[in-house]
Amino acid sequence: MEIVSCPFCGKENPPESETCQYCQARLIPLKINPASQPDSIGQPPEEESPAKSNKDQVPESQDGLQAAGEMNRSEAAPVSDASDWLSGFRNQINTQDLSSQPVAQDDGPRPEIRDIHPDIESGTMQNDSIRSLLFTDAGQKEEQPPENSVIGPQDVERTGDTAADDLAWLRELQSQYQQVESLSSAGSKKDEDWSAANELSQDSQKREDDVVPSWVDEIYAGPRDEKEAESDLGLSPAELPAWLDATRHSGTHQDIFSIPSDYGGQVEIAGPLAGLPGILPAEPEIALGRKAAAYPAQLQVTETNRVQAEIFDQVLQSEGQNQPIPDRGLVTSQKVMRMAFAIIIIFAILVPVFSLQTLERYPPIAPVAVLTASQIISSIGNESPVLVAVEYEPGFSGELDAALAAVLDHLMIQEAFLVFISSNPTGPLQAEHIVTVSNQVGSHQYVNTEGQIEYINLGFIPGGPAGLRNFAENPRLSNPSDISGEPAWQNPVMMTVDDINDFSLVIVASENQDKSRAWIEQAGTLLANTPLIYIVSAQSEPLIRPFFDATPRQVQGIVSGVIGSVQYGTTIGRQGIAQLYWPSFNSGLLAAAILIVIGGGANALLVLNAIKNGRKKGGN
Amino acid sequence: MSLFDLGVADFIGGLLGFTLTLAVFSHFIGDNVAFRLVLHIFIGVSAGYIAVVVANNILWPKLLRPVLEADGWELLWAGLPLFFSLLLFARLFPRYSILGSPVLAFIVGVGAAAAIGGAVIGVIFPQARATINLFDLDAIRQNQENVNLALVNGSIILLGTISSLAYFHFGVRKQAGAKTQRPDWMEWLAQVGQGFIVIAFGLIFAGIYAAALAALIERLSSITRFIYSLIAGF
Amino acid sequence: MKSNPFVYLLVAIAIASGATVLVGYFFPSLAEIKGEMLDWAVIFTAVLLLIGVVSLVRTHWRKTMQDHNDRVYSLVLIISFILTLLVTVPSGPTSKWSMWLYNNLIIPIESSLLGILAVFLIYACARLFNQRMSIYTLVFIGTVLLAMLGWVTIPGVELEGFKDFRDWLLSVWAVAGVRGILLGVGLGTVATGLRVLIGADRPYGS
Repeated sequence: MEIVSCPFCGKENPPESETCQYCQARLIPLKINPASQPDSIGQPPEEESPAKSNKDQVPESQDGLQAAGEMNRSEAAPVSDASDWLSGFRNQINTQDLSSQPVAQDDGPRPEIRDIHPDIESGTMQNDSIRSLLFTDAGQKEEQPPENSVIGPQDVERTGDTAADDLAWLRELQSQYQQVESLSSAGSKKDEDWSAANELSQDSQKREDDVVPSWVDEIYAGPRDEKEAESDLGLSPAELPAWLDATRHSGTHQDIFSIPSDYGGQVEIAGPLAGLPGILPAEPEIALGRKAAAYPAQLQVTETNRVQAEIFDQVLQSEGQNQPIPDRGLVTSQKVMRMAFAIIIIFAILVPVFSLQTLERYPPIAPVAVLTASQIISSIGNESPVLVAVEYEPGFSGELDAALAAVLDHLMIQEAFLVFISSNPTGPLQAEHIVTVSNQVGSHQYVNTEGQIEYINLGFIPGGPAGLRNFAENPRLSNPSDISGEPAWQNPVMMTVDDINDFSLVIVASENQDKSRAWIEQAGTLLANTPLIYIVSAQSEPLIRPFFDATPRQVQGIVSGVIGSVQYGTTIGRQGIAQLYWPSFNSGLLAAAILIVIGGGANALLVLNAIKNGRKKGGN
Repeated sequence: MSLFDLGVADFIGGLLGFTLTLAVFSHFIGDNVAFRLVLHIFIGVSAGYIAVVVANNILWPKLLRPVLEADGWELLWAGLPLFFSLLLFARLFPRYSILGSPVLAFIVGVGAAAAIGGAVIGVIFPQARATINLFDLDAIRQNQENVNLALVNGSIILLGTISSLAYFHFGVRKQAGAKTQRPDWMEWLAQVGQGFIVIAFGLIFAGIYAAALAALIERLSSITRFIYSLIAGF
Repeated sequence: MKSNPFVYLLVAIAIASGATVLVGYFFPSLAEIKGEMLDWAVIFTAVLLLIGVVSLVRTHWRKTMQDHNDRVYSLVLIISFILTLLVTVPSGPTSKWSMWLYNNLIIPIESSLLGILAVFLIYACARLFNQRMSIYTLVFIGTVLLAMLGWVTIPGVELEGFKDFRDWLLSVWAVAGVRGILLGVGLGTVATGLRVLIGADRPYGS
């Protein structure tokens, strides 16, 4: 069922109702009778009526201007004399019976609101003159309006007594209807009351333009008329190409603010644009919002983007989750390779041992550093105090025991008085150990007993560089007792030592580069005529070599590792631990070189092959 | 007669060394209980030795005995290190550790000064002088060396020293709109220095293997000696 | 933020003591006071070593008392520590039994740990190409091989050339690189020490 919305309150009403059930606003606008309309503003309607009545285009159904409400004759008096047609209008109004108006004091018939829509449709509204509300008698709603639109004096007299009571409906009408735009300010100013009484409501119903002036038809440029005009001119409509036609917006959603499709036939009925079709309606249809368009919720992406988005989402979701570490088997390729390497190296070490063959071919020529050291030691006199700093860890006993034992063997042959010191906490113990080893290897009897003191173990120097500096400057204050807690400086040899320069020789045995450098920095700078010899591990030789190669030399001799001890023993003609290790050491080095060449070459080929196949570009 | 005279101690010692060596070698297979036990034994015994050596060799003769043997004003002077040492023990308790901070500051200050003095006098000046003296023609002739060869070697050493120092230089001046990186000539010099450093590290690596090989030989020889002694004993 | 005035006292102590010792390096007139300060620093460092041992034992004792997975290992450590004290304290650290313990426990363990390193070193060197392929890798491995060949003697094979080349590498190329490293280390030591002496670094707490 068609529903009519009230233009004022917006509520829905049945289509047949003339006024709103809620706010009593008029839903069906009043029809204007062209016969009662003045040709121009200000002219009384009675002057116009003959002209209008003679017009063929004016249907007889159209009556004169009909207004609701009553007008008091006394109130009509202030109307200007030029508005005699207004008095006629008022009289005409008084003859009406308003069904929707409040009951007047008398029971006289009330003017009734007459639907002016048929009048409009029939085209009785000829120009844009002031439109008024037309009120019809309720009983005569569908009847033809009375032919005689002029209210005679007898009518005025008949209704004179009820004029005052009838004005109430007029005031009420004024309050209910909107003011219509006046065509001219002059006319509206002169006829204020007339314009107030002539308020029209805007209708949301369709208006057909059956009676439209010709010049209005020429102005109107609806598509239908365009086509008709073109056809009248003999022009065929343009055929749009397919591609241009395809660009036409098909419209997946309604245009909220689009003008209704049937808008083209609507004709304005009120206001200065009355009678013109195609006017933009200030209708509730635009004021009321339509249902919002339903846009598709699915994001329009390509398949590639979708796959990438899923991967990214998986990465984000896995963030923070603990990934289980794959269990590594007991036997892996890396472990197997490592075991194979270990077996090969151990085999290379043990073969010379079990073969019971000694390798007579030793490194032939001793380097300058070893030769210099041997020469210095050879110059050490009997009972000369020699400071030996045992700075290596017990783990390097295999290498440095061999090297230091060779040097100590030489010193013991020279019968030097050995003074051991260390900045390692386990150094004093290591010093005792090396003395025992040297005694075993060289068949010496260096002891430290009450009856015989051939060496002294001064113990431990804490404090790192600061402790070394303290010992180098004042060894008596630094270490007053030996490792056993007995006074160390009461020995006749020790009594000749006041500082480090009083020693005949300083030997530092170390595998640690930092400790080696600390001795050079703190003690070596105080040595004037006392030589400094280093017994170092093979790994430290490159780091001590700059001090030996310096001019003037900071280190006078270097014996490095097993190789150095072999060369030293060869130089002094003594056999030591190093010579016992040499066959295994030589084969171990050879096995390592072969494993590096084979293993490294195989890995290099694998990597090159992978690069060639494009699977890997360096790195892990 | 002691166990040493009977040789029992040597046998037990050999057995102990043999067992511990095998436990450490078991690390070839992987981390295991025996290996970790041996490590903890080693740490415990080392800690014991450190405590005894420090107490016996430093604390007793330099800290406690002077206090016991001193009197009068010497006692006050001898007691000061003992007092400050007791403050250091407060570091064991977090609530009172602040009491030992002044002593720590003293140690740090003295240590820093000793390090600076040693570095300047013992390393920087002598090594820089040594690099300069590479081109001392009189010294070269005195050593009866080939002058040309000595100059070539000296040039290589000079280039290597400078480029090695440049390799560790990472100071870069910021420039607006430009990538923050070292200048090209510095980058080239650093690459050359990297080559010298790589050669030095290669020789050091060979030395580390030589030291480890010597240790392995020593251990295997002790194992074979023990096994041989067992066989000979039976 | 309000500064703790106690911090200024610590900084003052560090700067004063360090400046005195440093000046004493260059001016012999301060040698006596410098010597006394060095001696005190040595004593305090020894006390710190003892404190370190006590802290180590206390930590493992707490692990033993708590329900910890490694409490057995901590217990073994404490037992070893106590046994060592029982052996070395009565007769001294260099007594017969003390040296027996040192020769048959400390040396075998440390030597074994270094011995297994030999296998891992060669294995890592053989896999070096798999990790990184560059010109420096080639130079490194070539130097290692040259050093080894310069040491070995093979019956019937003359390797004097390798030995001379190795000596030349060591005395020229390695010295060049190491000298640069030594100078850099020295300069870094001076910079670090000066930062402590001016109070920029405060490793003694704040």
